[in-house]
Amino acid sequence: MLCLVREEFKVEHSGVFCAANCLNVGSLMTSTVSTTNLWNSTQLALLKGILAQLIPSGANGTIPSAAEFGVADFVIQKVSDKPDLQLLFTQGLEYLETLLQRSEKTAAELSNEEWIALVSQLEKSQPTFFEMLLRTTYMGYYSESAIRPLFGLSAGPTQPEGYLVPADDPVELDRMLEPVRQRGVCYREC
Amino acid sequence: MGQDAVDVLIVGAGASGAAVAYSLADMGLKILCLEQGDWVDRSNLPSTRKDYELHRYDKFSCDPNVRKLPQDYPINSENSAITPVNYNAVGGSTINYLGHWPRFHPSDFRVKTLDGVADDWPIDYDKLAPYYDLNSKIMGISGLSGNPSYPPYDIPLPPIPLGKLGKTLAKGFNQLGWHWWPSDTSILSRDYQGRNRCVNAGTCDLGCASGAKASVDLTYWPLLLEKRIQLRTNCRVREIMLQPNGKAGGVLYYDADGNLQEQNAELVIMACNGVGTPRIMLNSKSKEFPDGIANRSGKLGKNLMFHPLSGVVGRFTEPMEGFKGPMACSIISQEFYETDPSRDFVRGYGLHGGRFTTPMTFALGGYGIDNLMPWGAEHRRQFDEIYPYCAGLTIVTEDLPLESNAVTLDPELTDGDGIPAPKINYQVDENTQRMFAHGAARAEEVLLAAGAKSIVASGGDAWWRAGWHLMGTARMGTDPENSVVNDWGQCHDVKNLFIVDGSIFVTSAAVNPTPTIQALALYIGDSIKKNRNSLFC
Repeated sequence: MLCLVREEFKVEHSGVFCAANCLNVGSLMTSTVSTTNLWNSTQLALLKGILAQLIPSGANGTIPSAAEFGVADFVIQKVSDKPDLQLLFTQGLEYLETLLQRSEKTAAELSNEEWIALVSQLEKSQPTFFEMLLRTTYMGYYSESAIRPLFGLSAGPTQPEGYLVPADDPVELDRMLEPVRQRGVCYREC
Repeated sequence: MGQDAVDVLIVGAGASGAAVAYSLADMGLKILCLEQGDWVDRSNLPSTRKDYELHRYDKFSCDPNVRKLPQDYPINSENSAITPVNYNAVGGSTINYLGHWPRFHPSDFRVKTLDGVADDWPIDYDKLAPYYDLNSKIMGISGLSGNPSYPPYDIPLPPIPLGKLGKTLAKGFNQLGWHWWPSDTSILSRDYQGRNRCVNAGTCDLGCASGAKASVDLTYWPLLLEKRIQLRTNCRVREIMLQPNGKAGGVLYYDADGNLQEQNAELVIMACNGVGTPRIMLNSKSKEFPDGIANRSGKLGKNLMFHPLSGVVGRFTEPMEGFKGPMACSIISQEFYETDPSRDFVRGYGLHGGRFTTPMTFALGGYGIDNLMPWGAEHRRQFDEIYPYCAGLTIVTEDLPLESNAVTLDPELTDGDGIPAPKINYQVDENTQRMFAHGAARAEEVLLAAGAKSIVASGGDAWWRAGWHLMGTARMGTDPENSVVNDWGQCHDVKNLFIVDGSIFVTSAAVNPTPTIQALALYIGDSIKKNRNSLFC
């Protein structure tokens, strides 16, 4: 089950959230990524580099990019038991590897502008892979508990705590509805 | 009648099946309900999990083609502008519905007479009113009486909080002098009959762990089990059997182990929704009914109606807290609900002010929409500068019946038991497209009047994964040549076969159908009781 895997993953990576100013692309390229038999180290580095472009960090570093969580591991987990997805992602990453070789640079040497050009080329040339990667990235990133509070939501489940929304003052509600009442019935008698 | 025969067999334990069972429960009959799903495990609902949003796109999706659970049947909607959604369990789609609870208007039953389109219903608002009221008490409805858009009726509980978003939208409607009212909801504003009040979790589709949302596994079924109604879960009906005397003899179904079983009954009631019911009936072929049981009219499966939805979103200067509160309910406007000859469309639509959504769903395009947000700097901008400040209105249109919009049986696709899957042919008609255009322009006016600084999304095609309201595929009527059931749900062609779900709607109105579906089921149950001695004449 996906959800069980995700819970297990959370335990392993609970300490990953860190300040974004330590998270430039170059550092990501040299950081340890999950071991996998699916893709080689260059392909994994490319994956993480792309994640940083799909959801960049923001708000002066207080909002981390998609590369700073275990989104790469989420992607790997998502495709690991689906041969058709494995093939799609492997072909996509191989295509990226080819683009990188043409640039005669390593992933860590690419400038931000070069990364954007690389991702744009991928979007144009490999639309099916790109859409699946983007969708999976969004799912992996926004399922992280630590992300939700950045947008005002609670980190934990929505139930049973929920959110406090005060009941409306009946007098105030009555005042708001007075113009509606004054206009009278607005359905057809029949 | 076989050893295992029952007096009444109900197929489906959702909103309508539970309501008709309640109505018949005091007759001293042996009543059995077959349900293809099981009880939902309320100790482990997605809304109680940290990764709750992921489940919306997996095993708790509203789309059976995404969930692919053993109890689900696939739906071929390749030729449809909207794909049907549902849930298969005790409680049916009330497990994952959003609990908005507006009634039909009186005029919704008289569309031919008043507006010259479609057909009138053979019953009227006054006939259903007492059943709306009874159902409100059982389900526990919250709202505010006195809505000038309806004849007077009582509501058991006060309205749910409008929230910051709802109050903001209300200002816009007041500014324009247009109708709005706090939504009627099947979500508790106060503790009620052993269920807890709403905690404003904002994830009504992921299972309401607090029990505030009235799914019928929490409302009707405890009452029904007390009354010794028998419920058999994980049982998938394949077809309705026809006896030589022209009566339904019961059903053939696959049990939890996949074994084909025969269940005999004196009376069969279909309660499987506007897609599931025609599917089973179309699959019930015989020499007498080669095109499906009780289908001499040829109307079975035709006239499918959905309520096409579209929306408009505005960006405000303050955070709107759109993730707080019941997902689809805050306020409703019916300013453009009744027909106005000066407009370029007939009938009308509602503007529903629900809440907004959670971050993942926003990134993936919105609830019921597959349209990924841009990546890169634009992604960052939309999340930082737009998402927290959004409020929107949903345009809920009346869907007029068209015979070309239909449910048929797919010649190849089947469920896990080999039963043919439904195939949907459906297009949004021009009248609805004109309503969308009109509604989008009006919604933009409301949002700007309410203080929105810009409109960030407006109109467009009908939302894809939004076929919540399944109606019209076994329509009511007095003419057996033009309808499947009579004015109390009895099939014209098979007198001991009844239908109580949204299939029997003649027209769709422009409101969420569950209150009307359940009122109809209670009314039909009452009618069966009243006509007990002459049922099969």
